[in-house]
Amino acid sequence: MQYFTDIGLEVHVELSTRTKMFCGCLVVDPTVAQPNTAVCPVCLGMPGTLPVVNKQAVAFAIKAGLALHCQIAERSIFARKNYFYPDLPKGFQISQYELPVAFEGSIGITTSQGKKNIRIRRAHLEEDTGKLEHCNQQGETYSLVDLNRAGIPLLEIVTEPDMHTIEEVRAYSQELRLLLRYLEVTSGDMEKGAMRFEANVSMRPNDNEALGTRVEIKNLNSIHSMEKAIAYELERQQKILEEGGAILQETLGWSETRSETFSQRSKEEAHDYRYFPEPDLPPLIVEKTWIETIASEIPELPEQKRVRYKAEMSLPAEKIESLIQDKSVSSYFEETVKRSGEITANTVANWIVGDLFGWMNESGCSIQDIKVSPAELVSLIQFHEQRVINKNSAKEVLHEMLQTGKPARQIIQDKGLKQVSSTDELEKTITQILQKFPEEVSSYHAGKETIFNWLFGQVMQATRGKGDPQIVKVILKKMLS
Amino acid sequence: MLQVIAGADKADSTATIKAVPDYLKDIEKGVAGMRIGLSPDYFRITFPDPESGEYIEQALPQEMQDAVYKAAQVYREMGAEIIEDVPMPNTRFGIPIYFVISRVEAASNLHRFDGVKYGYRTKQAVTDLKEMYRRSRGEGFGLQPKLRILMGMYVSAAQYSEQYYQRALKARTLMRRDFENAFDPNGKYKLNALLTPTTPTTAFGMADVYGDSVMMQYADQLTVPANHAGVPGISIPAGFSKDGLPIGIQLLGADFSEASLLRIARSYEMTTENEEWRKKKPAVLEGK
Repeated sequence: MQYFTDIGLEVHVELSTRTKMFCGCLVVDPTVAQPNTAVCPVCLGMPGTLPVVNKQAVAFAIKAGLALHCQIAERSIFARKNYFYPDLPKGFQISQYELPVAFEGSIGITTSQGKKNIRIRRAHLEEDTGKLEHCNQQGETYSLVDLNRAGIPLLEIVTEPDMHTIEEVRAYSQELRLLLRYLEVTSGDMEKGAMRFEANVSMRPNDNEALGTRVEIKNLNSIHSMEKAIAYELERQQKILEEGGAILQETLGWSETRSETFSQRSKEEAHDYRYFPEPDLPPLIVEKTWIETIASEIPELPEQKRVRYKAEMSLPAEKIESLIQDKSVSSYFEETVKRSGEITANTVANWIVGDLFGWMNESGCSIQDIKVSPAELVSLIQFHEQRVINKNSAKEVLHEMLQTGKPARQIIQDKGLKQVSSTDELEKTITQILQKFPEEVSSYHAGKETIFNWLFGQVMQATRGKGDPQIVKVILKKMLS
Repeated sequence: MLQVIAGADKADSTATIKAVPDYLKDIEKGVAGMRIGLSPDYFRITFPDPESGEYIEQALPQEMQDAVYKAAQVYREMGAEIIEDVPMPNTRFGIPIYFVISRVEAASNLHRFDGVKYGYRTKQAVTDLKEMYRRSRGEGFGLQPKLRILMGMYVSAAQYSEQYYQRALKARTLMRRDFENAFDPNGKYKLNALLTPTTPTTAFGMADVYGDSVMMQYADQLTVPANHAGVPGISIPAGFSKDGLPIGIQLLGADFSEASLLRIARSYEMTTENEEWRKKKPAVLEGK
């Protein structure tokens, strides 16, 4: 019997503010900075220090909340979540509990099964913890604490258990990441821990029954790890249920090396965080006008772009997806289309998704770094569309443009790549070829039509690729008949 | 000093951003026309009987009450209107609320003394993190902090929070309401200030020890309401008991009424300036 699966996610998103959540320390790249260099008495949790809320973090949270169709609380409360761990210098984390800044939203996702909405239960602000490094030197084990990350603002986004397949989990996570990157509230860089996941997974005989006992899988550092952990967990639960067993409510970890989940805490050992309102911070009051200002600053979002690209440019879904995955790519595309005149959006898209992406992969450049401006790309495409150069030459020219930043016109001139479309010139070349291969011409006349392409190839070779293929074909056909 | 510390502080989000008035500007202008209240709820204390657990109500010693009535008379003579019988019924919750809320905050504040970054760390060899925490905190903290941590952890625990911590927060709101009613400019009492004893008894004797008597544990009952309600208060000397121990009186006012509280206090001080008791010096200074 196949059990019905319910999955809810908690995603911790590092907000890309300049400074930390409750102090003025700079947010630094954890993979670069020396340990414990971006710290101050507040984020070190020194006795007697007081937190001060980072306004930018609140603005980012509101922006994300609005884009997730959440209600924004004009009054929300910071609360202390109390527990002991060496990466938590104060012994409590300032978070939000009863009144989060955003609640009751949703996000649309698309899977092979079509479109659906995932409900967002809440999104709340909190501070990140530090990081531990466990060391083992000649049998002596110890742990080092780096508090650079302590106090970096996090937005924790919690869904309802609305996902039922791993495909939906993937679609949700990718769409959420895309949305938040469009809003420029996070780098979304999972390798640097800017997005971390926790999955609540349960199973029940069918979707008419009450939700099954859930486990919480913590510390999943990428969408990929999460998918693997959930897949493992579903198999484990399915097996237990099939054998008539019961799922224990517990907190699980995920071992990347062993590719399995493992128990961290049972229900009985679950932490009592003793949440209570943070006495050092007054309620967080956000004014309606501020929320409205933030709402007005929200850019066109991925879903709106998808709809528009389809309606205005009739692009195929797959190409749209490639173009919108990175906001800078889509704005490059839009800039190019704006200047493209007669050239269709689909042609522009082909050049970007094909040759430009190829170059970006090859060179490791991002679209912001490439040396070809949208206007230059348009001029290149025009040279090709107007038959000044053929496709192969155009690709060659673009490659050179990307490498040197020279304009298309100059490269075409320097390399003598201009397509030959003068009928006189081409007739001369074709006559030479036909004289050179009399046997092939005879067999064409004898009915072996495939020889035409071979002859065409000979002509193109003779023009060193510069002959306009359309015109060459027309003349060749005429001269053969 | 208030003039200097009052007002916005960019490192303290709980400080008001309201403009700070000149506290000295009107300080000598007297109390004529002001409404000063007295409440029966500040002339008694309520506490649970250690034996039975029943609540007991006990009147304040007469000389404590007399000090307040005497001050009221002084104000009346200066042209203030004295409003008696102002109800402050939730005053009796002051100590229980304080015992709950302050313990929860103390327990949480003391979390950082875990032997990792702050505080004492056990010298004993430990095998795991939990043991390090237990020993460090067990050995490092004295009796009083331990009592506070235990009580704070208890009343904020998931299964008890509703009965204790959450209830204390609700009771605190009720206390706040008492003050709002008393000071409401459109309400029944329209007080400029509430005049009360500062403490249920005189100052303690030199050798007395905390916990000796219920009265001592409840010494804060009349001062914590201002803290719970978030209103300003001022305590000023008002003479001595027949045993020679000092008595204080307290003036409580509405939010941001510091200037008028100072003015009312100053009037009392000036009017009683020449009274005999003002010449007395603390026993320690007189070498007794």
